[in-house]
Amino acid sequence: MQPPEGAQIDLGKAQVMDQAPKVIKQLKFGVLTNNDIVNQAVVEVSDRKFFDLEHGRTIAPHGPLDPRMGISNKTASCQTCGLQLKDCNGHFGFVRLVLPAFHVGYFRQVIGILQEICKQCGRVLLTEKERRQYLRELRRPGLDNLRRMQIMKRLNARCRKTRECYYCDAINGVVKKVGSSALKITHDKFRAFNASSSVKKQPPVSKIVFDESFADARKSNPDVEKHFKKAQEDLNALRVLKLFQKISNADCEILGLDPQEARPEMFLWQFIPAPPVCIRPSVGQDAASTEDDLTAKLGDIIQSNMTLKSALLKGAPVQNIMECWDYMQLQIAVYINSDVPGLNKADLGKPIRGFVQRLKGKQGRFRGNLSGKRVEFSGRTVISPDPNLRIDEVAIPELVAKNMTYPELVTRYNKEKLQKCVRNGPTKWPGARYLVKKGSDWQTNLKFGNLKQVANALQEGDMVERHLEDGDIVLFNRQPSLHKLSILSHFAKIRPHRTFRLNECVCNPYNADFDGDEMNLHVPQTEEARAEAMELMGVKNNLATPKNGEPIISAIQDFISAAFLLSNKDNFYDRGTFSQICLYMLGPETRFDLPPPSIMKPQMLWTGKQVFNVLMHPNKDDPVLVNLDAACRQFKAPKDGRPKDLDPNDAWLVIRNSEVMCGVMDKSTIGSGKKDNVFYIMLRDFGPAAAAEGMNRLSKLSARWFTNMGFSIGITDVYPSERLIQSKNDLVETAYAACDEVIAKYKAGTLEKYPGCDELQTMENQISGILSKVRQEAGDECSSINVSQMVALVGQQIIGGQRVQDGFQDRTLPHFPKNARQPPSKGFVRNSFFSGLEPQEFIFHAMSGREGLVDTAVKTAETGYMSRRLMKSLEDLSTMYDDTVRNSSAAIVQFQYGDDKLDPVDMEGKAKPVHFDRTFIHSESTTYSNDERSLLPAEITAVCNEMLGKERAKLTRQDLMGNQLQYMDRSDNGIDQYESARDFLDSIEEYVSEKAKKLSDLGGDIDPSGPSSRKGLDHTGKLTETTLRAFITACLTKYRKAQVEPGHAVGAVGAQSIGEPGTQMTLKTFHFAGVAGMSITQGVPRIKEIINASKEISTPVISCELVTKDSLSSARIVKGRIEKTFLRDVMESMTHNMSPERAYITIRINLQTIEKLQLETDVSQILKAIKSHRRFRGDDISFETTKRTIKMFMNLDPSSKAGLTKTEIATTSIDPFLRLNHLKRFLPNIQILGHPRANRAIIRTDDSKTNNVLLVEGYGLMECMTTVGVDGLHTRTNNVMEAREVLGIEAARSTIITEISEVMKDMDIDPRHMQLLADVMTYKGEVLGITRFGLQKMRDSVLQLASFEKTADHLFDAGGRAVPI
Amino acid sequence: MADPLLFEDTFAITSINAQKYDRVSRLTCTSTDASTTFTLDVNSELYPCAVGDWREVSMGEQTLANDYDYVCHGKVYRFEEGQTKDTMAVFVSFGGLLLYLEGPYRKLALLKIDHVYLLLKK
Repeated sequence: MQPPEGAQIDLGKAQVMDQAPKVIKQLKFGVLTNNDIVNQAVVEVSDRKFFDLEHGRTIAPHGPLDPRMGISNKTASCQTCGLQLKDCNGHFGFVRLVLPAFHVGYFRQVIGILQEICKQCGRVLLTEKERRQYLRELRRPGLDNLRRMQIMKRLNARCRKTRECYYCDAINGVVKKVGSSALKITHDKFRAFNASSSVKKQPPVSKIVFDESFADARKSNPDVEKHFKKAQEDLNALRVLKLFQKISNADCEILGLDPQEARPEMFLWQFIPAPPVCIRPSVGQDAASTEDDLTAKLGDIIQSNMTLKSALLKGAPVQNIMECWDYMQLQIAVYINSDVPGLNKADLGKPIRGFVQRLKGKQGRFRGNLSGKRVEFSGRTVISPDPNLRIDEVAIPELVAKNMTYPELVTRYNKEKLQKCVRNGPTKWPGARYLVKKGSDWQTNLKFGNLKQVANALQEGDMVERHLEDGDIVLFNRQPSLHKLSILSHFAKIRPHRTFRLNECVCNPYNADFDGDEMNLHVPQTEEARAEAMELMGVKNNLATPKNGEPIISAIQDFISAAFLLSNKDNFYDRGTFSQICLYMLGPETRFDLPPPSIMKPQMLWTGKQVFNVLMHPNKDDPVLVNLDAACRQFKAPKDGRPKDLDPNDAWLVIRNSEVMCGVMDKSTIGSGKKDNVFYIMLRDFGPAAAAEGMNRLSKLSARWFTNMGFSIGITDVYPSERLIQSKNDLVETAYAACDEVIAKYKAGTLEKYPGCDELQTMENQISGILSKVRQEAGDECSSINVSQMVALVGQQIIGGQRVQDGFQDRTLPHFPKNARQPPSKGFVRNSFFSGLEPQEFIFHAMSGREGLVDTAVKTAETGYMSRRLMKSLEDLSTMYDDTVRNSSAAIVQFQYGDDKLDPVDMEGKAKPVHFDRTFIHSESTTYSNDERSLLPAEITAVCNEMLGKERAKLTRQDLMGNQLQYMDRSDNGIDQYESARDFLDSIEEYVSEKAKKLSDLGGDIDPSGPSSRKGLDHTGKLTETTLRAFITACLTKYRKAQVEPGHAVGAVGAQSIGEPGTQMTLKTFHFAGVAGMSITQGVPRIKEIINASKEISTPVISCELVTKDSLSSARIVKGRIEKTFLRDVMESMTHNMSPERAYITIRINLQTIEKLQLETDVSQILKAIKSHRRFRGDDISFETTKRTIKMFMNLDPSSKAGLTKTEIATTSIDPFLRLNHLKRFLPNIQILGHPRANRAIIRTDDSKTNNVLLVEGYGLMECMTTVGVDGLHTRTNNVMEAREVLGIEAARSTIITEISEVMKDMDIDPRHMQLLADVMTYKGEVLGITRFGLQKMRDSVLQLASFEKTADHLFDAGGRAVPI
Repeated sequence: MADPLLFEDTFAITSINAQKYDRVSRLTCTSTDASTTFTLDVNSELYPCAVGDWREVSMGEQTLANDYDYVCHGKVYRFEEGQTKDTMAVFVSFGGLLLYLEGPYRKLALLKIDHVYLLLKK
């Protein structure tokens, strides 16, 4: 019977409910008290034996495997609850320790607490006033983790300074871990006393008592005498426990503990919980069984505890007892964490897998079992291409399809199909593997039984786990999964053979090729999962990459070649051939209208370009009307004013209403990574389905057309012509000659130095410049490096950014004379791969080749870790309904995503939401009518204002009090969240007014009837009202659509968008063009520097804008002010005169040099600089100056030396002559000018010589900014941390953005991603690196921190604090 | 319907570029009164031309096709300002074979953005 309308129908399988039944509100880590441990236990474990061998290998009661703690095999049942293995979670036991032991996890905390309390009375080492003050700080509401940690750190530092307890007057010294051993703490009580060099010091009473205690030992053992001064107090676990028990509850709070949850004594072990047996299962092999590491270690702990107990009972020597105790502590430590630092690994045998090891690392509980899981319904095999598949399909081998199932509910519509599946059974496709009858949980395996009978009994509401079939939704993935496009959702297509097949267009997002790559497949098991998969991860919904909105799924390789050849101007087809080609690409479901032939007479012929008209727009009912003006790959801007359309290579693509007017289809017009791509236009203007269909058609067309055409290359294609060989040789010879000239100049010493370089560097730079150009010129125009290396020459080999370096003495290889700097001896390869390399060339090429391989290997590991760190610190950022970007603890990172709420994936222009030119062409072409008149310029402005006025009315400006403000009031008072929206409206208006201006320039508003105006209005500048309205509407719609959706995971997408291109970057450094010798770290190392927020960066550069930009001489003056100048640089000579009467040094200053370098100094300034040097401040030195000399006299009277300090005498001498000699050595290195931390300054001049910029290597932004002649407002540094210190957090943020953009400029990443990263690094008010230290300050959630790095540390810390997370 | 002929003139072929393609040559022509010039891609296999030849060139409706030797169908897709104030440039494409016509505005005023036929005869 049918259920009544609206009644709840049992849908058979669990649906995703919109109200989850239970929600975890809070999670809390804590420490167990002794009572907790005992109370939760069901048994005391006190026997180290696992099995009772006397009673026939039964499990020993009270042993580590006692069955009351649960069981680990499938046959037995638990003695406590009586349940089987799968139902019993197990129960705890406990071990009672005779003496307390330190807990490795809390060892640091224990030391910390000991440092803060008095080692006698257990009170916090603070005065009452300070105590209250710290308490007040800690109790302040809304205190975040970062602040709390800072307070605690301060508190600890303060307490360590206290020498005497304020309450019991006991002496407190330094508490620290004993260097070598893992679990020992000492208290150096009398360090202050011992260290004091005071003569009058009095040993305190406790010191005398302490020393007394050694009296007996000293008497009996003479060895003690030597060491007794070094004696310190041993804080063993028992003492510490007693001490901790004394701490009052009020003091606990100061120590950062909540006494209700955790008291300090809980950090020591008195009882050890024994975990349930099922988490440490025994692996039984017939008679013997292998125990888990934990069980074994638990046994060891019990054993050592028993040994200690018996030693105590029988009164063994103290030394013996201490050894037993230490051993037990060690066993317990290893049980928790088997790689305790400071542990001697050798004497423990192989390291065991302790609790910490179970949790940490990639395979640990956090990353291996909580963040990621093993899955069912998945498959993996080799991939191969198939252009006949649609781009959103994946071909699945029948064999795989029979192994993977989807549970389908029987309804009256699919009953027949599923009955057939059941009849086919699990071995015949399309069949089914299991059946679940309605209302039961029992799975019937269809491998057995009478399938016909089962099929006939199939009811509506049953569930059939059927084989995969065509149209099922699957997820397809290739590792490494660097971005969200590495896993996409496809429709299944079951095919014979053994490989997964995909359309080549989809290779790009996976970064897949077919040289043996394997890919994974997953089958979502519910309708909800399928719907979600297709909407979010479907191939069609991911044609563009969120990195910058460029199409990533697009034609590649053969598709491009075929399209290029077919769209050539030279192709003419008759009716039959043309129709045939059209049918190559169109399926039977598509009707197509044969377009009129391009050439009617003398013969009807269709051109190749018309094929693409049909491809885009097969019939007149098809809505797809593509409009595009774009440059093809070969396009060069015409120089003579010739229209672009008439490009001799036909390299300007114009498409009007899906008709190709001119141009070819090539890599830049249908390939991926360009926004003026035909398929991208289809995607933007007509939706993903249209674009996907276009690509489907192209792939089918290419495969079939090429099958008939044939396309291949052979050796003849790389055969160089006589002419090419000749011109290549000429080029090489000229380059060699040029190099020889440079070398000759270098040898003669007449080479003009580049700024900041010595001669050798200059020469190398020049030669590299000459040689690297050779290959580019030798390669025929527009042929790429691969072809020119095959045909022409391989070119200069670069290793480590330089020419090949000497590996032998003064030469690269023994084939060359020593000190040869000619191109061939330094790695220039003049042969091509076709002509073959000489042996020495081959070696050079192999050297450079190996560098590339090493580079790739290093890079993958580095970028992988970088991506992981980026992901971990950005993963939880998402946009909210109030437009803010927040992290999982609701902290605001951005008020609006990217300041304009726009999603990078929807950016049509370069980081702009609308490409105005293209939108205008599209609106114009689609709405064009010869019957409608053009608007006059004034009318255009009117229509525009009318339409934009409505939008502007929504964006009125108010201040915080609600008072109306001017629309464009951008004062600090008026600025609000709509600025970017207003800017966008303005940009539309600007574009439209440009059109109106063009029309009025053509005479559009002088006399509408005149011939010149008519030309403008009817032809060249025509703009109808329909077009204008369509244009503005389109712009506004696109803007609205590009808004980022609330809930969008902007952080994850941003991390991937920065991490994924990182893998493509090289590690190399990059030299400034023009300014030689100034290199800036680039690539992955630079990104690492930035995101690590390193204090010291490898190439700090401050670029100073100058006040007078166009004068080289004034730039030099400023350079002199900044750059370090030493006395030696301006000194002509230095002589010393010594006689019994007087001794002096004469320094002659070279005034010409000062003038030439335009240094702002003179003798008196220099004298001042000398006097301010710390070695020249003595009273016994006097100076005398003339115009160009400085004389320094030394007082020979010994009495004048009385005022000298000890260090002064030590470094120089008390003897006046020696002293003078010493001082003479200091003189040349005295800095007389410049900023101390600026190493070098270089003037960078652009080509026009009007824009000089001073680049300063080193630190000291503040000094540079305040230097006279520098425009401080436009001076910036590339050092994020210095920008933070000098200019503040906002400057640091913008430095991060510009610096990352600079490194990533070739990667074309949307600036919004960089902004988000910079905001994450700065939103806390200080620059936090994307490292575990930074992350720790950004996040409060222990689980988040634990899943990143230092898992155990964070967990113990959370347990110790016992606060909810 | 108005005049079936939108444009008519006689031109002399001033140069031919046949290097780039096997089957297509680019003709550059100047009208008898030297006021109008055009650049046109023609299928040289079907319709060979030589420098110095004269051609009557028209644009208009298909009905005229019988009177001409070489007829193309294509689309006028853009107007631009010409070199001087009174001239205008017209871009026409016949399935990728371009016609770039530049001349006095009054001669070209009848052309609209639409499909047209190009008609050539000796």
